[in-house]
Amino acid sequence: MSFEDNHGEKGSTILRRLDPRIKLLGVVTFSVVVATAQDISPLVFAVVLASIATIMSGISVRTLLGRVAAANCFVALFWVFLPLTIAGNSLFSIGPFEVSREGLWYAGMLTLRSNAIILAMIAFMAVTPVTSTVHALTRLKVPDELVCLFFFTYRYSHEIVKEYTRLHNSMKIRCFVPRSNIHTYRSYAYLVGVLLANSYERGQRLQAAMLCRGFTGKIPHLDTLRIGYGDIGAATVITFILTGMVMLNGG
Amino acid sequence: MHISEGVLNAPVLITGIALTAAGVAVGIKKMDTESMPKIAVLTAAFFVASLIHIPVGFASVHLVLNGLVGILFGWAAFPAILVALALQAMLFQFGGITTLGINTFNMAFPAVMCFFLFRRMIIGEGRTKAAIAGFLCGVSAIALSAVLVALSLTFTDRAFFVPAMAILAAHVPVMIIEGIVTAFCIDFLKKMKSELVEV
Repeated sequence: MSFEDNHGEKGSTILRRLDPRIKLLGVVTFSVVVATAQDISPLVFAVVLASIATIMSGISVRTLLGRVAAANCFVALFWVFLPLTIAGNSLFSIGPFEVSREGLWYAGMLTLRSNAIILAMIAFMAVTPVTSTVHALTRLKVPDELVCLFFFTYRYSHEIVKEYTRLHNSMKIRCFVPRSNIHTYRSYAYLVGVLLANSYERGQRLQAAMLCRGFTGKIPHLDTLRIGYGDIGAATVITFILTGMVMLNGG
Repeated sequence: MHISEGVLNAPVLITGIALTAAGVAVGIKKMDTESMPKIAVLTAAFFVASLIHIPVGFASVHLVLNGLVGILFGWAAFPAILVALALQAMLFQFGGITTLGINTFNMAFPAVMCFFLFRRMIIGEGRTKAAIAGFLCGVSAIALSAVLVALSLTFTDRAFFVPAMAILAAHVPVMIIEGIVTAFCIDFLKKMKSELVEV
């Protein structure tokens, strides 16, 4: 198991260089506008814009497809059920079930909404290092305790993935093959147990080390986030787009 | 277990955000600043554990372990689960932003319930009793989460009732596996690192 960090993708595109605060605020407001949109026109507009932004971000096609597919698994469920359960004008029937136009429409709208948001998140967040996001969160006045918890969790999840890999490899060397049986479940439970016990000890050491350094539950930010002309420009464009979407939704 | 973006309506999303905000506030208040690095490392361990896939028949499920999170963390389960979900959203764009509130609540509330229901049995004497409590804890945390997911969907739209029931049914095997894994895990931790369960 491994997970790529957001630094993974090299290169420098506009979306990478943008101030993380603007990216974060932009993607949050975009999500809110899209999640509450009821008409088709703002949604199509949102999907098109988010796709353009995704292309601009320069993320690899493989990563993109994997993430979009994962998000659409949940959506697929609604394509199976909604056309059958929402009553309305029936288009055709499969056996005893009537497929309704309204159901298909509903599922379609849901898919558009879901994909617009996922694409915007990929475009804005997948190219932002988590550490920049942490700083943006602090600057945006998210409670210190939460930011700090987030930062340490992020930092140590990499260490714990290494540890997991080490433990899992030693299981594989001993011919462990996961199957649907109690032995597998017990082995995984013990694996999680070891991870937790070791993390607890690691956490205690970390806590002691942090206290030595005068930890007060706050991460001081050493970065110098500064809003440049490019950022102001981007913020203006995002504001215009969002206002446009809200107006399309009302009209 | 996650509800994707774009499915729920505004009232459900807002309710989720409000409930999670309240839970997180209590969680932060109960957590002393000094022990926060320790909680963060354990949260990271749970985050990594949730990426483990376990075979069930021909498919596989990933671990959730929110029952165990509840036993270990109590009210701090709210900030811990929020952070884990936010990290997932940032690293894999899984879950989402507007759904962060409701998704956190759906998993953290059962965790806190488990803390109050099963903790006494788990920290008490007797391995079998603790293991049984662990099993019940794993099962009921997932069951309650699945019910909350189903309710979130049904409150959004009556038409979501059937897919919500399908989700509920799909979680039955997950419940059993989580029950088994939680029971063994608690048994293991009690033997190996009892202070972790008993703080």
